[in-house]
Amino acid sequence: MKAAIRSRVLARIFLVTAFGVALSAAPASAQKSGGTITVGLELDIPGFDPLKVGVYDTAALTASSAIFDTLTTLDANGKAQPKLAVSWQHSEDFKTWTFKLRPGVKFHDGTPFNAAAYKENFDRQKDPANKCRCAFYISAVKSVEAPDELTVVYDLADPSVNYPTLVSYANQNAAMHSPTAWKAKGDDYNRNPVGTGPYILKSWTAGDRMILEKNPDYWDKDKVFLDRIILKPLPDAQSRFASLQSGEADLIWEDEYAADSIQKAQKDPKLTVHNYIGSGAAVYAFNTKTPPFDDVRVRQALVMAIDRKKMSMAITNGLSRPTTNPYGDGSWVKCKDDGALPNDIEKAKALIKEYGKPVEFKMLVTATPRGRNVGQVLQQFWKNVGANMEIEQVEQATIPPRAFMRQFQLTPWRIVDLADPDPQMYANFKTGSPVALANYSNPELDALLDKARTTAETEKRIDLYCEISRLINKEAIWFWTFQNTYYAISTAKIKGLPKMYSGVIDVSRVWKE
Amino acid sequence: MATLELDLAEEAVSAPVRKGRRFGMLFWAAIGWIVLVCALAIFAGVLPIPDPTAMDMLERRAPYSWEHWLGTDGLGRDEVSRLIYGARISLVVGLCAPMIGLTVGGALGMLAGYFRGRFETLTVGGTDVLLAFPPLILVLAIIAFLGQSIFNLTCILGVLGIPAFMRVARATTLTLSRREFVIAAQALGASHSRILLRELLPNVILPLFAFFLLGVAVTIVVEGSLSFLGLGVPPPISSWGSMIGEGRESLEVAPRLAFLPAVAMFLTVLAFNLVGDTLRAITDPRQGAL
Repeated sequence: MKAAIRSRVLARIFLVTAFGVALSAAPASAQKSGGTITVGLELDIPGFDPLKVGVYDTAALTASSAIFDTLTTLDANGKAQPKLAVSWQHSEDFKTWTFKLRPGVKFHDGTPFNAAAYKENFDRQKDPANKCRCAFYISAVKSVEAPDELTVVYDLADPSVNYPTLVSYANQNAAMHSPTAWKAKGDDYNRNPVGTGPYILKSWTAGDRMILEKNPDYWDKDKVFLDRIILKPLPDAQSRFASLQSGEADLIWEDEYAADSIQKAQKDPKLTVHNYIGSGAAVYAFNTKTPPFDDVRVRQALVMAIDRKKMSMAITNGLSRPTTNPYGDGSWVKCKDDGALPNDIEKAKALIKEYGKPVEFKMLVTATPRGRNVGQVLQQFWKNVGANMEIEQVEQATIPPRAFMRQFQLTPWRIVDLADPDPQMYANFKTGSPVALANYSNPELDALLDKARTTAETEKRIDLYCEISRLINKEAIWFWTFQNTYYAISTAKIKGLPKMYSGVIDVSRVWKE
Repeated sequence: MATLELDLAEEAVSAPVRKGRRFGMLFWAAIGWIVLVCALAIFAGVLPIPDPTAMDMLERRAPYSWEHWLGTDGLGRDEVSRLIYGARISLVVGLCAPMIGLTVGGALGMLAGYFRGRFETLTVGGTDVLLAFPPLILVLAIIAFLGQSIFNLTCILGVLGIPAFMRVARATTLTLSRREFVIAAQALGASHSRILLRELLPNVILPLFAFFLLGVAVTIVVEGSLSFLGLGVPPPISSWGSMIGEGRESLEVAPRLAFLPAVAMFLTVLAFNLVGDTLRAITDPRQGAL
């Protein structure tokens, strides 16, 4: 019996290695040039001018990663690799980063990409006169200098040990636009973007489709295979999946709330489910300045009342992966003890009783099916321990302003998938930061955050971030429910989709068999 | 005032046997359904059904069983009790909103039809303005602005119903106010309020009531559409519209979650329409004894 099992295990290992060899051997010959891919996205893209749109959403990122290039790109291990930059080095204190740029790169309009263009991009976002919402995300950068044609020097306000990984995908700040184009086109630039990327915008009909054509002069054109990318906004999850099944789309964006479609696709040999377990999590912030959340017992009780496993079953057929810290499995921060509060209904009831007053509050939820489902499940958990939550449905777009103005008692938020936890942890928990939504101040927490961002050794940083997590969990100023997992479903013919870092579906280097 | 009522009474007396046949089986079936739905909605609190918001998260979309007669919804809540509590919302909004229209619109219409003149011009003009708005979009905007609650929803739908009721009341009053019993009352020196309340109202109220029933049907559908769009009553309260909306997400896995509330709404709307139509047919003043 044992021998049988062992031989089966052995056989499996051989099979896997055989496949592995086949896979690693195959790409060289199997990559096929030509063809068109149609991608179904959730949202219509509002545009690409950072001054106009502020932030790129997941739909815009799919397009921007085909139209634009960034300084670096992440490899399969999450390490920064050269793209527009060929090499980089940092100063002793990690406050200055110097990037050497790739020579001979040209924008789609023929103008050269150089350090001056890079600086112009940065200054345009940073300039207070432009009032770009995107400036918030580069607030840690003091300035960018261009000492010569191919050198860019980042001067950071605070040390950042991992800076190159933060400019690795074509978001509103990192995508390189042609300065000539935005000056010439003015307001029209938003819908007529010009970058250095592998694809050029051919045509764009709002609400219908965007057509991207291969850039014949791309600096890395040997690794670009498809002739054309068509992006379509398909907001309804049911019809998006239907168009994939019917062959109208080759690849679609999904999230775990479309659990039925994902599980169906997993069983279908004609379809491939791509997923990426990111860092970060879906999180919620208590406003600790408003009662009843000014009392730590109430906050702890509400967190203890949440049964994440059950919640995952209820909202996503169990696809959502519970987390008790803000880092998630995709992060290099892994804690032996993150200080998670137990799921203990009796304890929670006792804490609420100890508090004495009735616990009643409003929670913001997005006016979407997934927002309503999550809201109702949490409501039920809290009702079980004697707390009364009222759901306040608001548009997705109104949540950030209300959060920034602290016009909420409990709000959903997200810690997105970044290669380094520092930018978000520091912004979310350092006293006085605009995103420190809990309105909470603790010198001990501030000290830990400061120390974590200036420490170079990874082991020590991990310890510090775990200590931060323990402190936040103990004080229950925020709580975390599920890790970030990103999904895309494609037909089995689509190959070469890279890892979906930050949830970006980058189709610029895939091919079709 | 007596003419019309006398006619009705005479018919009823002369043909008591024919009455059942005149209304027809469908009418009584519709009445039966409305009574059943109303009774369930009224007594939802005391019926031996599970709490409509209690979730059994591991039993989501469970099939029919002894415990859950119609299974459970996408969050593991009992479908039967959600349907019954949903009926409450549909009926409360569906009955109260047209009531506002009936009261305000009916009064305005009667005054306009009776006094004529500048008041009529103003009222008719005002309601024309209200009618010119696309109603659903107006409701969406107002709900988004005021916030979601049963009260807001009822008020808005009620106000939107005013023009239609106004028109029905005015048209009926216009024809009736030149009739001999009104002229007789005037000749006898009756005051305006007496004529309006004692002579006209009893004759106007019947067609208005028939129209009210049609209004109920329309309002239930509008409330359903709003809830379907997520702008009806706030969760976790169930309403048929929001149940259809939630069920739509699992249409492939458990189609009944969308179909059951849809059927309930369909039958109720049909029932109100049937009753309203039948009543309208027999109270139409044009068929009154002239």
